[in-house]
Amino acid sequence: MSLALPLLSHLGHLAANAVSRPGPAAVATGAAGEFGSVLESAVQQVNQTQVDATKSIQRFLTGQGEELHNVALATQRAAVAFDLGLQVRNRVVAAYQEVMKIQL
Amino acid sequence: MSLFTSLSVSASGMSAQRARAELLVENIANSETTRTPEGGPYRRKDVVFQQENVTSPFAGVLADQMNSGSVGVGVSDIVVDQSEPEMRYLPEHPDAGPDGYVAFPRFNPAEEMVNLMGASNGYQANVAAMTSIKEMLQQSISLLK
Amino acid sequence: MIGQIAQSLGKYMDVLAARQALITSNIANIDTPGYRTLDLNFQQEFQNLLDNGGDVPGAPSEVEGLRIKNDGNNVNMDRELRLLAENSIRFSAASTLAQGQIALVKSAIDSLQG
Repeated sequence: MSLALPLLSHLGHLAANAVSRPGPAAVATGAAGEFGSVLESAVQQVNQTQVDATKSIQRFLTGQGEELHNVALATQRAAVAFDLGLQVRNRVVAAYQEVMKIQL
Repeated sequence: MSLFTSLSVSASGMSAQRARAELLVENIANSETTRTPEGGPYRRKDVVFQQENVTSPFAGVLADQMNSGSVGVGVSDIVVDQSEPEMRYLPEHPDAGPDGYVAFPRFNPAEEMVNLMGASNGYQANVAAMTSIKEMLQQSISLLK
Repeated sequence: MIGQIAQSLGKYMDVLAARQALITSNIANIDTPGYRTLDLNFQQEFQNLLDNGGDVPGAPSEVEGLRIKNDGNNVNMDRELRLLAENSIRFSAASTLAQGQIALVKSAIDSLQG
């Protein structure tokens, strides 16, 4: 899964940083910077699949010759992306909370 | 180019073959008709097919222009046979002419049956096509499950 | 997200759908005087969609080598019915395979839970 790998690898990166780098402040900002941009692009990807699916359905409804199987695939793609996004988000939040505990 | 348009194509094929079959049946039923309102014996009729663009009833305006290869069929004309009627010598027949000959329709039973079978096969083939398109569309819906 | 294979299966179905439309037209025009059988080069159009994206195959072309009847029509019923059947089966196969791919990814995502 293209979405999970960068996020999960960043979690590992984060954990390593938390142990080796001194000072919670430095780690926090560093983490937030990298993390934030990866998370943002991930959210954008998920959003794009939603947009594509909506467009596909729209074209189908207004009789612009959109094939039914393309509507189905686009819709499934969006559903799967959303599901994955949700799962990863939950994992990320849980892992971040774990990491924050280590700081203290 | 949507598969739904193909349903219209098959429907047009069925209509055309049905119209053809109807005329052929009329020919067969009137094979011995010596008297018609127009005067003279019954004259054999046949259809002329021509290709026609079809659209799906649910299509939008743009879809009409995206017609890459979906060609339906329509009946452009009904042709009445103009050949000479068949003359038979039957002096007692009510429609007999002064020379005792009666004008009968030109009727070739074998030809009409072959044509009718052709129309029937054509019709069935269109039904098979429509069924196949329907199945494909159902398959597409299954993708959503 | 669903993967390369599902993407390819989608394009495969696009070409199959376009071809089925042509076959349907041929069957409807089996008795139309002067009508010439239309078809497309399947692998060429499929490869084109894979390489260049999009989901609409190119324009159809006339088929060579078919016997022309007295009225100028060259539609061969057996050819069309055979293609109709094969096309339909391939579409069914592709959509079932795509369903499988989607199910695979969904279960992988479910396994992330907990």
